[in-house]
Amino acid sequence: MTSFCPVIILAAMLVLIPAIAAPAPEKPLFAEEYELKAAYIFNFTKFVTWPSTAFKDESAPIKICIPRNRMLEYAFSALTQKSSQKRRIEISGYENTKDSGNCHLLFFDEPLDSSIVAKVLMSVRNSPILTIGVSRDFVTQGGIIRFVTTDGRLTFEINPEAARRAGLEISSKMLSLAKIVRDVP
Amino acid sequence: MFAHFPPRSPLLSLISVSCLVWGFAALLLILGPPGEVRAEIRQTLPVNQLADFSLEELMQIQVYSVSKQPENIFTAAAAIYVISADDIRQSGVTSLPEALRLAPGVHVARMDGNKWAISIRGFAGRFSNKLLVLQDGRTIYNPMFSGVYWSAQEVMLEDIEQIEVIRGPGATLWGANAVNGVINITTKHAKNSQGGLITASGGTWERAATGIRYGTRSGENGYIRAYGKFFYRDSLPPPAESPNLEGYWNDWRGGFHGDWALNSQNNVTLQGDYYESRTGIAQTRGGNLLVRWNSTFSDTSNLSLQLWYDRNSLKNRVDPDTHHHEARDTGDLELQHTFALGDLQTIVWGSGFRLTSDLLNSDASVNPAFLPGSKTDLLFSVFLQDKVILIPEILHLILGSRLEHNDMTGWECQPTARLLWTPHKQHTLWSAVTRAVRTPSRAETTISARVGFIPPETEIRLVGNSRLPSEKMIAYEAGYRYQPLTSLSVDLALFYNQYDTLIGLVEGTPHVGASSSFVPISVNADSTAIGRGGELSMDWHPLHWLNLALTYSFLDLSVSFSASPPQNRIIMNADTSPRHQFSFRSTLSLPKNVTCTFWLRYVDSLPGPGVPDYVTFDARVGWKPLPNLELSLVGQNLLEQKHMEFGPDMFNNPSTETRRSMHGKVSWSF
Repeated sequence: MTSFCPVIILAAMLVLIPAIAAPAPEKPLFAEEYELKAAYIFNFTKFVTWPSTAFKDESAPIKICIPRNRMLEYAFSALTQKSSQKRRIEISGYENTKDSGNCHLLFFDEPLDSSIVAKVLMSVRNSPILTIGVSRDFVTQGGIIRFVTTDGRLTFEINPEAARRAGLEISSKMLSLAKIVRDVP
Repeated sequence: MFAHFPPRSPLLSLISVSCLVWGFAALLLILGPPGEVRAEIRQTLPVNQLADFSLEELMQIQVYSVSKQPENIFTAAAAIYVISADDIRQSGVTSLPEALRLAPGVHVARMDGNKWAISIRGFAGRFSNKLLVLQDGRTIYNPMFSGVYWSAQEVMLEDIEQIEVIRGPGATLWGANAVNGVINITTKHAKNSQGGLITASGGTWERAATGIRYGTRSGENGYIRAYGKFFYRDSLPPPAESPNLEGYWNDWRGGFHGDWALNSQNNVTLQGDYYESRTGIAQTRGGNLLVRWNSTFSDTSNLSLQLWYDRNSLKNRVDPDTHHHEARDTGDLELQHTFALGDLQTIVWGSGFRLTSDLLNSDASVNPAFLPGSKTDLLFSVFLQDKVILIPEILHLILGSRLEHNDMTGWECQPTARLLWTPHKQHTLWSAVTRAVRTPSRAETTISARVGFIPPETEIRLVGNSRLPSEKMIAYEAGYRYQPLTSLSVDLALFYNQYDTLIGLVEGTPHVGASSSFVPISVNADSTAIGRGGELSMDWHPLHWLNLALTYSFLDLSVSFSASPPQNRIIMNADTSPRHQFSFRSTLSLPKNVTCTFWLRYVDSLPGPGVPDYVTFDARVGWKPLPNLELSLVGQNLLEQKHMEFGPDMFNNPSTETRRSMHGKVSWSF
């Protein structure tokens, strides 16, 4: 081996060490995907009006149901400190989508078999549940909101007709920020 | 033979120390309380801060990319790794074979400027006959010597969407010869390669390369791109014993790729390439044309029909006045249909029809000769695979089989059974039992060649065997994937491969005649082998600007000859694979649009050809002064002046040593 080798290693370390020690380069704001989704979902609860029959009483919490997954639960757990529309936020992890009955908001994350998603969407079709998903055909299958990642940023689609069927009112401000998707005839 | 490290201990201890450190850090992350450790290293915004943002503000936030492996890979019931377009760009590699080093468990050994021995899970050779390689659905595995002519295969690297590397058999879905692995190269949809791109590079051994691509709309609902590429890769200095070896590679190629949406359900792809390459003693030219029609009936039902034609011709100088000529035409038609059967089953079935015809030298006075000189083979196959949900979202069973008929060995049955268990979103466990076959090559069945001479007048003659059965393998595999954090994923795969009727050479008894005498070497299939080992890969993205990829693979392959005497028998490529391979790659996105990649690799010794183990190091610095301009400088094999990566090929052409090299590149898009 020539004397070139230690030089290279030294150079590599010289680059690596300051790179790790140095503050992050100037950048757009970053967030982990699950945490960003949790923040979005918290925000949505401020713009959606549930029928009063959806709650037991004035102080009943908004129940957000998410799949049982450590990463998701960790991200969403921070929301329980917050309140929206004067209601506390309650997070509930579901094992399978059968126990979705008393949720106000039901979040589906990948990868669920699309046939299962379709079935659950069908079963909660006329209940006041804000359904949020990520799969390609989520809103055309009857889901209300779908997260879309474009150019490394998270945006969302809304199917207003599905929201109307569920008896939910979505503020025009939120609708104006979304891509509107209609039912497939 | 293996656990023996050469006297390079300072470097190796550095490596082991850094491994220990990274391993320890990783362990801390897995075991430690997630809140505290993550908070220290994460530079993303926490949820309680994000929750106070408005929707408009949230829409401006960059998603921290999760694991690099696509989501569906995490729950695949096979050992799959996907090399992304970013990986290829950031690694600084200049050719397709070199890009394959990015995947775990792939042994890439450079033989000279235009030849590589590429293999998975053993049997490495210039023609690694148990590895199937496809590009955009077209097989580039050549039945002549059972392997890939890498010097005829090159692509515009910038147009690669991904390279999917499957370790282990994929015979049910991909057909014969997908025994030890499948490499599936996919180029971008024409929509994702719009506009112009010009690249130019030059360096010490990568003398000059340039590529141009332009993509535009075609009609209302279509996109098309065309490209042209030229490169000249210099000969590495030949070994002392064969100073006339010419290992350069001079290549130009061009092609197009168009995608059209006929309506919301039907899509058509049309693509083609033409190339001419000159590599030392060989001249290759060829082209292909492919059309694919894809119809989506519903979310769960999809049909695709694909037709392609490929031609290649090769002229290879055997000695100063004899040439080996080879031309091959292949036509292939394939149908594949996926649909849901009830709520619990997804069926994939398909059928394929392939006609391949060649033209070779049949004149016995020219060496080598093939009898017959022209042969047409028909391949027909049907397959069916069913994925059954045993427990929704948790337990899946995959059963399938392919039934294939070829003109050499008749019917071949290649079944698979796979069990996929996803007890939790962060964990996937899978296991599989698969049978796969490798069909004998054109050369093994029909060659007649003088391979040596014993003075005064005895020839050594290699004679093909037209009654060879196919090589068979039963593979037992298991794997585990774990994603404890969005930024960390670990993938472990283990295998136990049982090979039967392996094709090899047997030295026969000398034949002494009145006019001539010779020693025959015949091709036989009476050996067995056991291959076992595993691969571990880890992707860690601790900071949004730092990415670490670590891979390790282990292989133990032993061949046994069932017939005696063993000393007269040889199985090609049985001892040409490293026992241990290790790779560690870190990619840094620094301020001012600078990215750096450091890549350290260790490859164990190859016992057969007696190639010593080596450690090598590549580095790349890329800078984007403008959004559409990238300048990069790459150093390859920086640790040593030169090292050997492989031994001689089956024709006894020696390998040359790979050298330390530098090259620079400019990419301009418009």
